Amino acid sequence: MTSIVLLPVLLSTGFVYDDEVTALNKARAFRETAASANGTYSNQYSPVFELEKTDHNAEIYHFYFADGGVRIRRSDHLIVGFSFSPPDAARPVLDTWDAQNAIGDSAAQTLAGQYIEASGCSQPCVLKYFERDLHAVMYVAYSMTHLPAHNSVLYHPQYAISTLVEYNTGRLLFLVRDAELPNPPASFLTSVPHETALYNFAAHVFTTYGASNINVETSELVIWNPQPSHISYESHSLPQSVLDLIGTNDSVLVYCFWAVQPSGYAEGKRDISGYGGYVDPNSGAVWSVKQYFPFGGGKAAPLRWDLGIGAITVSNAKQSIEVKDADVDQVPEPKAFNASSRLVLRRAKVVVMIEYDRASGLLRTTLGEAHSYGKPSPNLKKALDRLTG
Amino acid sequence: MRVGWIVAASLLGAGLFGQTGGGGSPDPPPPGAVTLDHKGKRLSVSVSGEDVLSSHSPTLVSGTSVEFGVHAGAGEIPMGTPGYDPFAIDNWAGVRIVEFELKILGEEAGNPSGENDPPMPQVSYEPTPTYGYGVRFSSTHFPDNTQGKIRLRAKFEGYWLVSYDGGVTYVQETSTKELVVEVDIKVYNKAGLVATAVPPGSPESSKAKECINIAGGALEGMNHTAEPKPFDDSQSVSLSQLTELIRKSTVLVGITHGDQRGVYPSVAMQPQPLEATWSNIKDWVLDPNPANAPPYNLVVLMACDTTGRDSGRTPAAAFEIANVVLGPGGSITSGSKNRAYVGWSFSLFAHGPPPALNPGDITDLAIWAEKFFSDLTAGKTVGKVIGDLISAGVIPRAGQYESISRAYPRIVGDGNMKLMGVYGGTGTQWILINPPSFGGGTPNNPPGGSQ
Repeated sequence: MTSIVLLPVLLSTGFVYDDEVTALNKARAFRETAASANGTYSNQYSPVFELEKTDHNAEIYHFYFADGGVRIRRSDHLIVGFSFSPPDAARPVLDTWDAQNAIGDSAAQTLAGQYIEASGCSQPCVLKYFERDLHAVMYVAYSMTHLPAHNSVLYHPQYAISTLVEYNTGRLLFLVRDAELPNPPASFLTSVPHETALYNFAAHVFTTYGASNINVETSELVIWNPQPSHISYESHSLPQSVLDLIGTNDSVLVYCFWAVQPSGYAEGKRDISGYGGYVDPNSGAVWSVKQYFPFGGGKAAPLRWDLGIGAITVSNAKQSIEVKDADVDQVPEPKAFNASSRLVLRRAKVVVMIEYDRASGLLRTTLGEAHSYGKPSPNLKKALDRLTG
Repeated sequence: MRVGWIVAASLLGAGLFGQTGGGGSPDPPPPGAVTLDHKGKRLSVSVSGEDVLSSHSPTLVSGTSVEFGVHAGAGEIPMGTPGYDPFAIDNWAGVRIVEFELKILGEEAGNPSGENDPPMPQVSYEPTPTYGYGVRFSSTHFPDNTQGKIRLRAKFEGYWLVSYDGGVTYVQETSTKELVVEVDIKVYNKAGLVATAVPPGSPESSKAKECINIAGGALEGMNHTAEPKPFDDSQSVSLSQLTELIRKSTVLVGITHGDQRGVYPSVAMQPQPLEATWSNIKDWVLDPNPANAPPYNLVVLMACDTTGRDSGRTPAAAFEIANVVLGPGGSITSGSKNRAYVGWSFSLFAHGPPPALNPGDITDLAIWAEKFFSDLTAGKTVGKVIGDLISAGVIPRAGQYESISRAYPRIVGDGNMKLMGVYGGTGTQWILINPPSFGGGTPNNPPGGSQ
């Protein structure tokens, strides 16, 4: 089908370079793959192959079609951007997931992997995020995010490959990824455990920004090519050797964190701040934590110790202990509280900077001048005692 | 609310040309119609459709899908009509419509000439010729507040036979008659702007100022009156001013603090009381000022969580915008045609890095805003704009890396919505003659053509 439509299009668009023709053919072939769900589903609609316009730059071919667009890296024809809006899509308005007509989670994930491979990605990819979305942009779709990896270490989240797969046809609606993966670092050795890095990050957020209760959305050892937008230039301790990587295609290993400070408990309230942090995996030093401000705002409320369910990990700067079936009950302010140690308490993505009083067996978290006290379950108390002993 | 031109034209035909019995004077023509009994024929011209005919004159027209029908015809005069002599020697035996001219606000619009346009008026004489078509045009082709007329002029030519030589030879004579009908319309495209100014000196405040100036300039470029002006004053919109802006506008752009319950005026944010709740906004929208203000065409709320509640249906519903449901073939089965609400499901962040540090950073909200509004100005549909932004990788910082659906705004309503160029048309093409059945198409393949 591609070859049938190619000739008139080329004639209509005038002179094109051989490489652009090749790239355009790849764009069309990929559109065919996307529209047919990689040949696994039969659909009546064929994507538009006639080129509407182009918007190329020195690095990227950008082809626009009436029903979508494709961006292709010039150097190797890696597809880095794709959109497809099939006009035959009956777009239902759903309140709940339509399992009867959906292709299924497994099939969607398989297809996403095939699309990523067909886009030219040669690295192994790890599925990091999966959602059945009733209203993704304007579609009912599976929303997925993969991260490429090297030597079993993920690349920085900015290199995520995001896909949107139509829920009932499996067709690819969107694919987005960063154009360039950096060269892997020379060394993959680390000497600081992840929980220690997390402790240092959380402690920095607390001491610098006063946020004692954060939701850590991203917490990974990653391959990082530092970008100016990642760095807090007001205050950072990045060594010159890392700063020198800016503008190059070389990388370094780093613990990468993204956390948000939630606002209070009122219905509908959103995040107060976001924090993007980088911690040296060999020294544990906090290289940079940059604060981000959402169009939400709000005021933090003292924690009610409603941490959800699951294991709790407590850690200090040196070690961490995971305690299954642990919990913390909120208690009134005691008559005396002698903080002996500062620790990080984590359950899933909820991270709380706490102080622990061995004598009373109570812990507390601080928000400005206010404190919120909690009583750990016995097994958690035992872990806290060990850490502070 | 709106009746398509096909329906309107049908009703018109029944009303004007279906009088067959009873005789007497013709009924008073409906608004937008002119009739004249002339040389034994009842001639008529009409403009029909609720979009351009209302109880308020001039009718306010807004958005890019103003639809109406135009029609001319010659019919029989009912027997017994006073003054009608069916045997008059100069009664027209046949009529043809030789000219048919439509002007919208002074611009000639309806003379069919394109290959897909309807054929010219018939060239042969007929007893009761009729001619007409549907029109969809973009009011944003004209500056806001442009007031004038939709003017339809038709020229009829009739013939009758004159007998000579005792009836042996017949000679045909002709005459013409011109009819004009006009309806008064006024373009009404108002954009309300609100931008946060708090916390003072914050990234949100400075980014809001940057973005609202981008939006305001683009909206002016799309022939909207954007308020407040200068656009920097969008950062001092009080609750009462926001109320009035929402009541009067057809487009609202907010770059402000928000959550699942609503949005804040310029100088408020959490934890202050939120008074511009979706419920309150709905009350304001349902009490427009002026009372005949057209409904919202586009709402863009660049704020946290503005589609966080039930996929944005409640916030969009506050502006009377509902999801379009497409049936087989891309036809609209329900929802708000050519109207859209755009918001974010999660936290939307103000950064952008300093441009000097990372020029062209695609996470910058101002870059997103610039591309979004400039693409709208180019006549793309809102769905196409968002799709192109995604394929181009322009991603404001929202929901940080988690998924496309979190990083991108949700569109509630009609992905085919356009703010420039006629709905269903190509680019900034401003008028369609006999557009496809209203409601077809999809975001990137709307009825009548692509972007």
